[in-house]
Amino acid sequence: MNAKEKQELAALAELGFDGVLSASETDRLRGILEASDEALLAYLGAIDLHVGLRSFWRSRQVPGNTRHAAPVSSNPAPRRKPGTPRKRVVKARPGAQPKRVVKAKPGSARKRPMDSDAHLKKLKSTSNVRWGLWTTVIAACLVVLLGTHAVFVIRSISRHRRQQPVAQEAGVELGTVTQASPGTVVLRGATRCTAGEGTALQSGDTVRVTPAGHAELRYRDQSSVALSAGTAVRLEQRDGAKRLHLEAGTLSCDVTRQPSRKPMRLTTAHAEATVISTLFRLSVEAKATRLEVDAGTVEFVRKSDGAVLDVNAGEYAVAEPGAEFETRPQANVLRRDGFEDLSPWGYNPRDDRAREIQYGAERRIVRRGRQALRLVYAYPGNTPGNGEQAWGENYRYVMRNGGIPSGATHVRMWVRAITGHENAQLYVQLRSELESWQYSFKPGRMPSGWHAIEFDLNDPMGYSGPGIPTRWWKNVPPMKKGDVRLIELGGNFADFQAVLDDLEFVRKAVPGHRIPEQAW
Amino acid sequence: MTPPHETFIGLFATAQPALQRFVCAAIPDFHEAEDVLQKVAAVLWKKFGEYQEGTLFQVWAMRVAQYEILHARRSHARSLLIVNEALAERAAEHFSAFTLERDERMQQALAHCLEQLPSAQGRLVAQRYRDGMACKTIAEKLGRKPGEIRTQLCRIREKLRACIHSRLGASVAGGPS
Repeated sequence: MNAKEKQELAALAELGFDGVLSASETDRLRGILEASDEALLAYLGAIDLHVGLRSFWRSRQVPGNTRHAAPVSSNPAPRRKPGTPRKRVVKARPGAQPKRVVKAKPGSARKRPMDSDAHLKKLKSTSNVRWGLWTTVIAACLVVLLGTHAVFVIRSISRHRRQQPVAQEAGVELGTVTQASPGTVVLRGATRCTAGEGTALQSGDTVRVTPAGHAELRYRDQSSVALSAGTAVRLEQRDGAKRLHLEAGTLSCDVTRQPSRKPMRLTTAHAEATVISTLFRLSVEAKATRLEVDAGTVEFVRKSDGAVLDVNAGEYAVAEPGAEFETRPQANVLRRDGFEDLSPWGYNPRDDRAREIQYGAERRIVRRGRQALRLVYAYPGNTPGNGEQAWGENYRYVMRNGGIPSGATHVRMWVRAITGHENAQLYVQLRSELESWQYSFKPGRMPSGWHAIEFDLNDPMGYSGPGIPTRWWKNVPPMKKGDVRLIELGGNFADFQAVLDDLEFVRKAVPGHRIPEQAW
Repeated sequence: MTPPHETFIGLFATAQPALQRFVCAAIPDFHEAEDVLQKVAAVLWKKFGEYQEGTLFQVWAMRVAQYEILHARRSHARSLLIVNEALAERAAEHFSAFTLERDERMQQALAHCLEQLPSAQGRLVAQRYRDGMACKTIAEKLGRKPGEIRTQLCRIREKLRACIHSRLGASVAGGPS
């Protein structure tokens, strides 16, 4: 089955699952299944997962079935158990006044209600005089109680006013959308509109970018926020201060100077960042939020324990419950190819074989800048599960001139896999006149989203990408860093499509975007 | 001695994941597939007396289901995909090995893999499979084309399949989606 047939099979199967397969489409699908064993197996595999998903949700819908915890969590932050006192612990910074620990008063126990029959009998047996006395006592008690209650209520209201966050100023115009890929939407209450250049943004709006899209917003004070693919963000203004809640994805901010009493505040499920004037990126994953600061300082609060960090320019920090919460230096980037200009890239002029690897500018899925590089490796001889070919047989690559800058310790690249067979390998090859160092990873096994793949230049042929680190050759040719003249990006073993951005040579090792641990 | 209906329920429960997949392969529309599965269950119960204890119930049940599906041509002529006997045989053979234990492992892996999905994709899967919404309805809700939703679901399943595959080893068959 070639890629086109596979695509057709997938599309027809999907129509079938949806119950909208026409008679001619049914015939076509039947024909495909009868013609190829491979197609039948692929179809049965799809059925397997389709039925599995139905059963999964059905088992979760059965009352009392708690076999599966909620799988799609939108807010993984720990919740306070009902009845437990609210507690906020703020870790003091060195030299700062310790912040107070606020504990809510435990709820007062309710009085046990009196047995009604006994109470009635008792009332009936009392004389009128006693009843009058009781009435006076009760009235007096009521006056005292009402008075106390009034004082309590007044105090509570004033305290509540002090503690209550200022309500968001719904409807206040905040800025506009300056760029938006197709499919980007603005949700305003129950209404939903497609976002485009010039779409006005109000306090309370949520902007959602498609999984392959991007958008850029500009506040009236010229602060800008770039939203990456799959990002959802809610914009608010409270008491004149900007508030931004990152529900999913990654955003980059270039914030102009904010009034010191009204800093911009960004929140995620795990953290809160307060900024006056700065340039930074904030990205939220399932269990952690990462902040990278390029200019200025951002106050970063981890919600799980209230710990506070000041993240300065050139530093980054990750807020994850239970993990170390500290600032770390960002990598010192010595050379970067952001793929903004693809003219240095090309095929090997001496290689006249078919170009089974295609490359081009990717402008929708971009991590940084205007564009990225889309790499499509599709070799006609590759079929699913065929990763047994002899090494190098079907290796195809695109290349550019370039050496390793002196002092570089690592080469790093941001990758977002679009499709990929599990056996497909993406290569970064550094080549001299005669020899090469080769680093590889498997895009088909990468989790979704952008990931920094980093290779140690002092450990050629090894790789530190996702999966089990593998060393292909034990005896690495004695090539020196200074010998490298060419950089190649290539594929082998099975087909894949990936978007690459920011190929960088860096001075020191920095753990890239954290890749969730998986049993590969 | 265990009453026959209890024995039957126990055996049917173990064979159900495989039967469900087999019937769904033949009739991709889930609602129609469920109707047929119910009929298969009724026939199995009716013929339970013919089942020989000690033999594999799942194999026997698949054979009965295969027979019933091929006889459902009249009532489900439009939606019946597998009408070829040899093809039905292959599909039945493929799913005969699908055990309840494997289904449970798959469900556990699925729970993990669904957690890994970006929230937008998770929502889409939930709308399609949890809420049982047709792609057309989801598309109308999101202001998109049904084809786009189908393509996206297809990609998400591809991602889930790769994830499940990595968690369970090579026990899940490959597929286009």
